[in-house]
Amino acid sequence: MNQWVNAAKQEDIKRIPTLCNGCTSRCGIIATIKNGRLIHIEGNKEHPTNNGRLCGRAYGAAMLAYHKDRLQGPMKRVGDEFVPISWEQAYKEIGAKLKEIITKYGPASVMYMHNPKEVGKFYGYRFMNAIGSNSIQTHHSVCYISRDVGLEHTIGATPNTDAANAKYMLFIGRSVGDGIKPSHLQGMMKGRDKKAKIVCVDPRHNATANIVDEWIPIKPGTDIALLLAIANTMIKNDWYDKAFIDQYAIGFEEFKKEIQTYTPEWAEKITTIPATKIVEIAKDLSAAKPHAFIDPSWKGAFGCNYLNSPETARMVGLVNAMLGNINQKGGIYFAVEPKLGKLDSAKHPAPEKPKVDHIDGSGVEGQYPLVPSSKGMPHRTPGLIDEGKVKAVFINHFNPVRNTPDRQYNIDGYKKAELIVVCDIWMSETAELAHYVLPEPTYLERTEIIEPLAGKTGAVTIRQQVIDKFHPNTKPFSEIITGIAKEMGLGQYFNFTIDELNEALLKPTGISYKELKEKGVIKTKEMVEFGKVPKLKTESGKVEFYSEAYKKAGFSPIPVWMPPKVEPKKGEFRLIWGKQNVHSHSSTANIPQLMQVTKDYNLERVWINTKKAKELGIKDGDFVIIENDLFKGKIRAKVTERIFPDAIFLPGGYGAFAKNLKISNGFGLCPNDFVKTGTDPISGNGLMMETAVTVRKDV
Amino acid sequence: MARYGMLIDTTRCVSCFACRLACQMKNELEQDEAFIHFVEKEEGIYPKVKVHILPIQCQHCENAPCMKVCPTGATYKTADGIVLVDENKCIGCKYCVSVCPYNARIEVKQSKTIQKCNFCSSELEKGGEPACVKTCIPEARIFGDLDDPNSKISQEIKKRHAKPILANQGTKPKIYYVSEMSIKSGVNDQVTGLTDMRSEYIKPAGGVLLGATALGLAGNFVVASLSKSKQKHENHNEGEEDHE
Repeated sequence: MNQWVNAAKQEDIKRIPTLCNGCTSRCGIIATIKNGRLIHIEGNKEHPTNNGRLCGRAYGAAMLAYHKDRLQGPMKRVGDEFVPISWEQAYKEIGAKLKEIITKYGPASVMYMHNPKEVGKFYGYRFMNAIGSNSIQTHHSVCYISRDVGLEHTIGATPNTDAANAKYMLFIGRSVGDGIKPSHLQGMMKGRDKKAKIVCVDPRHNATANIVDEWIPIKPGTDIALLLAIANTMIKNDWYDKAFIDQYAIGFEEFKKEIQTYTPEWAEKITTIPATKIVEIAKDLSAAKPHAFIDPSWKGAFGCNYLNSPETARMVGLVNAMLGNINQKGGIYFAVEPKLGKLDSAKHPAPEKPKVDHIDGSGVEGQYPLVPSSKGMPHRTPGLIDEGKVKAVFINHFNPVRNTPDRQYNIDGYKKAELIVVCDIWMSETAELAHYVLPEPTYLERTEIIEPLAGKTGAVTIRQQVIDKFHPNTKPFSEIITGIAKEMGLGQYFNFTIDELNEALLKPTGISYKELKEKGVIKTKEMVEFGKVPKLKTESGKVEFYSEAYKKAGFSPIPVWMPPKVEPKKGEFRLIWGKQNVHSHSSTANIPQLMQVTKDYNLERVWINTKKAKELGIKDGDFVIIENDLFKGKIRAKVTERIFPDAIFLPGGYGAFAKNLKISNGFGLCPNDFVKTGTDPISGNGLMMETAVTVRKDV
Repeated sequence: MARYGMLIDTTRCVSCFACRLACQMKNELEQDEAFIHFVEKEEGIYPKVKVHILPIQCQHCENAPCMKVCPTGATYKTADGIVLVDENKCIGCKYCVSVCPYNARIEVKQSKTIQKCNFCSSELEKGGEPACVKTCIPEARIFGDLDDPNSKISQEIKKRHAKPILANQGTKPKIYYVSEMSIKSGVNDQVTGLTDMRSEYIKPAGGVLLGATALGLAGNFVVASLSKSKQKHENHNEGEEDHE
């Protein structure tokens, strides 16, 4: 007994704030550590992204450090096998190979790919600058690049929404209850509590449709027609904010002329939404203006799915502008964030940004002039390797082989690269194709760079190490890059520790590093000025109903109707997909707690409309075969009234085929397998839903 | 003394499973052991369709049948009305499993005992709240003292017309639900339409007794309905000519 009392006394319990990694929203969490082991997490009440609450993914991801599938040290490919090597050997060999490739093919042939977060941006870009390459790709072309390009060329940037004060909210393809960012769902609920009307347009009755006023199904890929008709109706009835447009917009007269033919009746034929319903939406939006918005969304209907996605996004920007809702209460607003400091350049010289074109043509005249070169088009890289343009690929926490369209195209392409280096915590499909795999500790075991947090007010936040490394031979990305750079003779650009860097970044805010580490997040003084329209970041500084940049690039300066690229033939279905709230693409399916939810509730099943299923003799729970030119897969059917009849819905994130992802391997199907690689010429999106498939009962 | 209870407003629930996962972590459960399970029902025909989600866990009944049948007295009720299981007394006989109308009890492998939601009673002592309540992003869950007419839960139960499920089995459950489930289709119809979303191969501890449980449910199922939702449903029926 005495022994027990002593043991209890000796228990060492710590509570440390850090940032979640269940998805990439980076919510504030407080980790409880008992005798060095993480035993519990809860939401950090001070963090504006989640206000103390967490979604299910957080709890699953919290146990990642102890996951059996983790990589435990650096490895090198020898034939078809991976063999453990030392970090010194890895740095040396990778450094030498990179130098050789740069000499032989030029620095632009070295590609850096990642899901952009502060550490990856700072160290990754600094390294790329040091070697003289501009070839940087983020996951955006398979996420939300079209949205960003469309909004950039209409209202200057992607805004936030002031949902808590809105009177009417229209979500098109965005489901805040599926792709949960807690603050988005909380804002929407606050608005709902104050009697805001909320409408969800989506081919699928998603998890948010359940808690809103109305679900309006739409034919997938036709959202732009709905928006054109809403604009048409607002203009025809003089419902838009004329004073705002007069003062803050250009090209409205040309737009007005173009839009005349896009009547609700015209849109009904395309979208299947009744004209009367379209008029009702336009009327409700207008009546609530400026306390109304169309959500700027993420991937949704205009992130990266269709040929017309960037144009749909432009219309989202323009209809919002017609509501005069920019930086208005209950409308959209441009978030503010604190300005962070820099390293002292005398002590820590920074490499110059190279003046070479992006190898994938992003931002290059005559190629993809409107695609931001900071984002690039990662889904095109296997093709560029095949063409001999890309020789080395450095991939940081991104899994393009599973998460971009067309499995075989990816495998064939990456196999031809001279050097692939992958940083991850486990052996992803992409890591399987690498020459070197450099394992990071999980997010609980590493300290990252201080992050500015954008919102109605600014804030700074930090992810910090809360437990000792479970696998001591893993290294954070910051150290990995520093190690390789030193080996290449570029050590002068990385002569600082991450703590020194963080101190420098934090300096202008007046917040102490120690205090930030104690609290996890601290608000700064910046605040959005509601009621005041800021100078927009467009070329003209105004809302652009007519875009010179588009015209110069050879595209229609005014958004016009553009059908999706693929039209399913009779007997075919469009394959649509999206997130589920317990998973974050392919990065969580291998987490046992989260995969168990999928298995308990059959979440991997393909959704098919009841009437269609009946025609095909498919009953709920039957195995079906989904097939097209690219792929054939078998999965159970969820027969439901909750989906547009000519579409089927497959959740994203399953269908892992990496053999060392032991929980997710071989479970479910991945939509990317059914999508041929392709690119929209305006925003460079990966056309993730431009595909048709057949479905039949498995016999 | 308090009389603790919970309100679950299913009209705010996006079925994100955060409650289940937070509960599992808090109670140190294995991935396939859950104190909270979900029942789903789809209503209507495309495009007029609605799905109803009922998160279900121990309802901390005043007249808890599980307590009555427990041969060792392992199941007991605290002064605050929380039904708990004394791990040291539980012999794993599963009598409680067979009589629980909510299918709320599961076998915990590590201790070989039958466990269930305990309202995170250890947290309550420290002034905290159950993990499921704390994590719920759309704030579908409210926890508090049912005996205090001024508590948020008492006020909201009144305001939202929340009602317990299976209220007239005489068990006096203390979780109150707000749901928009149709009141037109008849009680039995609603219950037979409820499908346990868990697939057949993941058996809850009471798997073999599911039949009896379902029967219990069928006998007596009362779901609260908002007056707003009644209206909504009627509108749905009239508006069938809306989009094809």
